[in-house]
Amino acid sequence: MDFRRWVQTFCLVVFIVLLVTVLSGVKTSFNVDFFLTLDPSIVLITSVSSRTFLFGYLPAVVVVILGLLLGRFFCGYICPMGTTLDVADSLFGVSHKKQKKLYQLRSIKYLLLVFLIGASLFGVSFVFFASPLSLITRFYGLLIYPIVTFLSERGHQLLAPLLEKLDLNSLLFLQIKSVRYSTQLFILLFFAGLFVLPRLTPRFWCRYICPAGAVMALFSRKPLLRRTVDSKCNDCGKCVRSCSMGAIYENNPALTLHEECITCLSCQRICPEAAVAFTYRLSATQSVSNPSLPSRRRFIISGMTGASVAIAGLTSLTSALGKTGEGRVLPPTLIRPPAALPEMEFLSRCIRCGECMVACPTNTLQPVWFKAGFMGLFSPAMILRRGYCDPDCHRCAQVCPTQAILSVTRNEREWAKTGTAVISRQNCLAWELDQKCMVCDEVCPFGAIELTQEDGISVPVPKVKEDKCSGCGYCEYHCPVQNQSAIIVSPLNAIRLVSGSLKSAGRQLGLRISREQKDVINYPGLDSPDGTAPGFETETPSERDPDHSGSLPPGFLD
Amino acid sequence: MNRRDFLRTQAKGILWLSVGTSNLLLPEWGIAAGVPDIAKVKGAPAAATRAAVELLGGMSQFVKPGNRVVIKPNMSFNRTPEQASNTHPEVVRELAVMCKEAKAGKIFILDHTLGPPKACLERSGIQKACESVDPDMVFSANDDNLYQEKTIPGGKSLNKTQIIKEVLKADVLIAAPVAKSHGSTGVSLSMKGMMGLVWDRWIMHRRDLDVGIVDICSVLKADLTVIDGSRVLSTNGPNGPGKVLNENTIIASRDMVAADACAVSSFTWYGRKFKPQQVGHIREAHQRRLGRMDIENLQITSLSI
Repeated sequence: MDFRRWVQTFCLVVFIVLLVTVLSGVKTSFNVDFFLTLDPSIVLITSVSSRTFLFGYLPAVVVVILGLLLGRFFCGYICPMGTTLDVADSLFGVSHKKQKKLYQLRSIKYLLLVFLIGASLFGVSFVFFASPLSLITRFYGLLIYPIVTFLSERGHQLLAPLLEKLDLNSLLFLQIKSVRYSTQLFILLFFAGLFVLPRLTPRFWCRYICPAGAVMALFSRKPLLRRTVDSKCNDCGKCVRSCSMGAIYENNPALTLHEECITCLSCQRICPEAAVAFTYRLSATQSVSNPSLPSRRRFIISGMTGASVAIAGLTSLTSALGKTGEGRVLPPTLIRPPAALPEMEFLSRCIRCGECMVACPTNTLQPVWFKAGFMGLFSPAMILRRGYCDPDCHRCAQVCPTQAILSVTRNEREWAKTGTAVISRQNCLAWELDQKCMVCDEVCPFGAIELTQEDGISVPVPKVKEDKCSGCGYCEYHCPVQNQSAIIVSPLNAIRLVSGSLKSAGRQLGLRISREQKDVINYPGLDSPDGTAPGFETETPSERDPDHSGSLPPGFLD
Repeated sequence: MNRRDFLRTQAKGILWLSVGTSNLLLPEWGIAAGVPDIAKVKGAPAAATRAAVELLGGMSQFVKPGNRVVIKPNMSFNRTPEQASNTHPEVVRELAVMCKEAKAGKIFILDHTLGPPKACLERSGIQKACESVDPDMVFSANDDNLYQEKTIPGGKSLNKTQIIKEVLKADVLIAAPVAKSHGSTGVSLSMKGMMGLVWDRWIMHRRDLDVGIVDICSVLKADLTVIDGSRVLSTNGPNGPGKVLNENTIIASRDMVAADACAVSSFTWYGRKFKPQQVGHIREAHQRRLGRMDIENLQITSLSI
């Protein structure tokens, strides 16, 4: 293994270790989202679409500035996507000698970048379709991680009888639960495509499509460290065939397209005449005009296309643009993570990397398909039937690289109201079937369920106290009604702020969210001597079925 | 149940009791003659727990050397001990210590938490309290792989359920609930608490909950019940926070139903007194002879320490 392979392996391992840190919830002072902030396309597009530059974006700036010195070293050495594609290349690719000559495709990445910029000018971020770090984080986090947990769960099950026999109880009760995510199909197909494309040329993605590569290419046209070829070169063309980026001119191997070169040094290694060297040069001796830069006309067209698609998104029926009020059609079941920014700001920042979903300990955070419109594709939403949202947990915000979820203090956390629970009485066991249940009250951490009595119903029935509900979904998760819960959190009265105190915003709305203070129970009949308390029966219990008085058959009057 | 049935049951109860005290039919009661049906001790949680079990003849009456023991406390909620949603950690710890003294082979403290398992085990204080006894003892079972199907002979609402495997393997089952109110079943004591050893609790709510509780208790009959009334969650149970009564009482019995019945009538609920038969599942259990709720006919030894 040469130096580059070592660095690549190291970076991929660090990337995966950070992802494991995210999913295990281990607290660390290190930036777990470090790799995402290295991606210049994420930083460029998100800064423009959200009109904000975060301190956390500096790593990408450093990468770009280093590009002036070292060229596209990031692509060749650090990028986990590049490394993964190299592995895929060695597994599925063809010999580099047989690669197709598709050099005209090189301009796609620039056009794609301009497309994304065009869209971001209107505050719409489509970077999630093309950012290599966002995509690779989803690949490992939302596709590989569930597979690993599934296999571990099965493996643990196989070992269980042995652990039982040996009384290794901590191991027996390890309880590996396989995580589940939606939108697997997209990641699966997307990466299947990426892994097959090296059959045409190696690093197809990096050469032709990657918008982060495009940003770096623009900054590494004349890098300080560059490939030089001396007079020993006899035009054998070996280097041309070995170059995984197609960065060497076919008819003149002495010339290099520096913006395509990832300084992998394979040409230097392979040259039989030892004519190739990577040296520091200040002047632009060998430089040629970039043949892959598209024409100004095509630049403008793709920028305008991006803008048009963004506007199409903004004018879609369920677009969140504008003030709430009459005529707004917002998704009725879309529950964003706690303290998510207001929808437009949220979407302009969210890069759909999936870190929040990987971090979520109850697996409630899921990427959505079209629930939030096509601008909201793959953005995180809570599926509370899958898991409740623990009011002590805010890992999603802690790992978000673009702060699309507001970081709040510990005592503000429970005021991050995500919605309000609504009981569908016709599904409710107590309301509809006269069954003792009250699981919603039992599990509610906020005391937001009121027990009350209704005429004709022999058991206590639940009502939601909207001003105490935080939308955590404990009730929806635990509701024993199959298959849909009889109590469902709707986005009603979710508190979503760009900045400021959630608590004071909630107080202004008249909310009384608290886990420590429950209302004094106000149950009908509690004060009267022959009344009763919830769940208790009167001293001379009558038959539980409400008495259908009158002996006439239905429909007859007396 | 009408009054006639009730009286009939009472009469039968008295009859059975007289048979019982004559040591004709219940030989194990004969071993420890003079042992009360219910022990009720006032005092600090750990000391009162020990005293209550001693009054019943000591832990060695229940746990034989090498036995596998499962203790079922309430540790299902992410609440502190003061909030009385979970069993007092010192009660659980003392029970574990006593089992160890009786040379139990293996002790498990198990529940199927409703909140995040790690947080519940920590915040309830039970994990930490029991760590010094054995660090490999307190677990939450939130994974269906840990459960095994069990048929319920004579079940009225359930004919089968899924129970934690370790419970099925255990020689001794100890119920150690906290005394608390419950929005749909009135109270949650030893019988209601057994739902924490069951996987599919959903189905129990979709059918008749009171009947379901008695069904599962017929296969999860605790050998010893120790009800933690050191704090009683008198309103807003089972989760709370609600009104907490500092009763400093521990109630122990071999009979789950009797222990539950005694707890119902010993404490006030929502500021008033209730009779055991006002709790649906206690009445159902009594009718089905799982145990006895007519505590007025049972021997109760009270002690203050």
